[in-house]
Amino acid sequence: MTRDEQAIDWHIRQRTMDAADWEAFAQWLEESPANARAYDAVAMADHVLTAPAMAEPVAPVPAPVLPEPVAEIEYAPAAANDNGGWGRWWLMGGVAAAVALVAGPMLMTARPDIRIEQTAPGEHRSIALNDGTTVEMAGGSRLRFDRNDPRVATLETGQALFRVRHDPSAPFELRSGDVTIQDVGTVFDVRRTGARLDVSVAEGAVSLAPKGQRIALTAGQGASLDEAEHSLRLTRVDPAQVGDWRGGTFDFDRESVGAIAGRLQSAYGVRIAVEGPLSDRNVTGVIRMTGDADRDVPRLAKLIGAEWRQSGGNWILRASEGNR
Amino acid sequence: MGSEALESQFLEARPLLRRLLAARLGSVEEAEDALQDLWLRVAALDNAEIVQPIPFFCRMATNLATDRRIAATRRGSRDGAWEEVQPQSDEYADPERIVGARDELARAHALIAAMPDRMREAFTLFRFEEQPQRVIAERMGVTISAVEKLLRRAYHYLQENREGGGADRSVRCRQHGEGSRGA
Repeated sequence: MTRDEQAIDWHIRQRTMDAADWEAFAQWLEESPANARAYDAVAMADHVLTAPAMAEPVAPVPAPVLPEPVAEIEYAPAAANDNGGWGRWWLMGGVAAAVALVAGPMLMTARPDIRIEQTAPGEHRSIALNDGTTVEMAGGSRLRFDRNDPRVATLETGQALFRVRHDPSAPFELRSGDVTIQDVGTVFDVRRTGARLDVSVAEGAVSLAPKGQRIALTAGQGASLDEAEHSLRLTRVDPAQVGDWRGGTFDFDRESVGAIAGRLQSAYGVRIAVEGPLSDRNVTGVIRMTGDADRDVPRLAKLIGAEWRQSGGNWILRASEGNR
Repeated sequence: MGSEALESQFLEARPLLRRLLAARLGSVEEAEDALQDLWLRVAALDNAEIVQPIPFFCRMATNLATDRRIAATRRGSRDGAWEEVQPQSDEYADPERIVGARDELARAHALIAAMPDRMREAFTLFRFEEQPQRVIAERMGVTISAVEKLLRRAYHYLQENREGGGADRSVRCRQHGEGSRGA
């Protein structure tokens, strides 16, 4: 067997390897840097693959001009409320060109037989739908499914990562508020917090339809909508990091401290109260959580320039002296 | 509960994980860094009951290594701690990179489409539907070793037909990864 063939063999076997096999694999990798390189080529090539089967490819989206992403934590001013009314979604950052106005066919659905899936704060749950789609729910989330139509789901609140089994004849549709997200063969993450909806696409593409519009999002793109303010902002995401909440990575994109406290409460079941104007302060950044509140909350407080204290099992955050 | 058990399982697997990561990443330092990252992910699993912890951790490790190798390739010559690079502007998928990735994906899809039917069927079931080889064998009405052969040939075919000298690129990045650390 050639080196490349050995590498392929290791790769194919990986899902069923036991501890001894892994030892043998490590040894094979160590035998020669060429082995490691050969394996690397196989693993990297495989890693970028997503399911083909795009029957109706989404029209290519012109590269949007996006605001500079912010490093670490920084305060961002609250988005101005343009109050444009329905049908006048504001695209900030000059990305109007990215909007494709396509009238999509509406799906006729049979009488629904509703099933609710709800996770407690701190709970993760994976759900497999009959059609092969899998959904990983974050803590504090609520999803509605229809037993008669596995191709429709509704995210009422919280966050979930969808790996959609593509079927060109029956696209998967996720609804949340007045927004509809339709897959074009994809892995995407959705988070609903009150009026705000955040969508990130890891693989493939989705078609996002807030009222009266249709926007194509492909891998590496995301959107942040506020249904109360009728605003929509396109964001860039690292496809490799979509769904990272499962490993404890939390990204905040111009989110209020109050909303972040809510997310942590959902994710870990820690109760965090935010005092005073700090609650409305917007924060952008990425934090890796350990799941241990005693470590995470003080660290978060430090990053956002807040003081923390504990009271009867609750954490309380407020702006520190110099930061009010 | 569970977290102490997880920790002891992780500590037991640690030497092996370290070897895997060092071999994959080509640098002991980066392996240590990746181990910490891996531990954070494992710790975040919290109450999860893992039936076979060592193979599970090993798969996590090798996936993490692949993620890092891809990120390193994207970063080009830049090397550094993973956590530090997350929100920086050049880490975001820029339009050029998206187009590059799309091209690569389109090429791969064209290759998959051009596979012989049986090979494509086995590969699709294995890779995109994550079916075990036993199930694929049942579905296709062949033996497991026949499935294995089809998969091997499929991966071989994808490797052979990759354009743009992927292997050269990884060689280059490996060399970058070996020496100095930090930005």
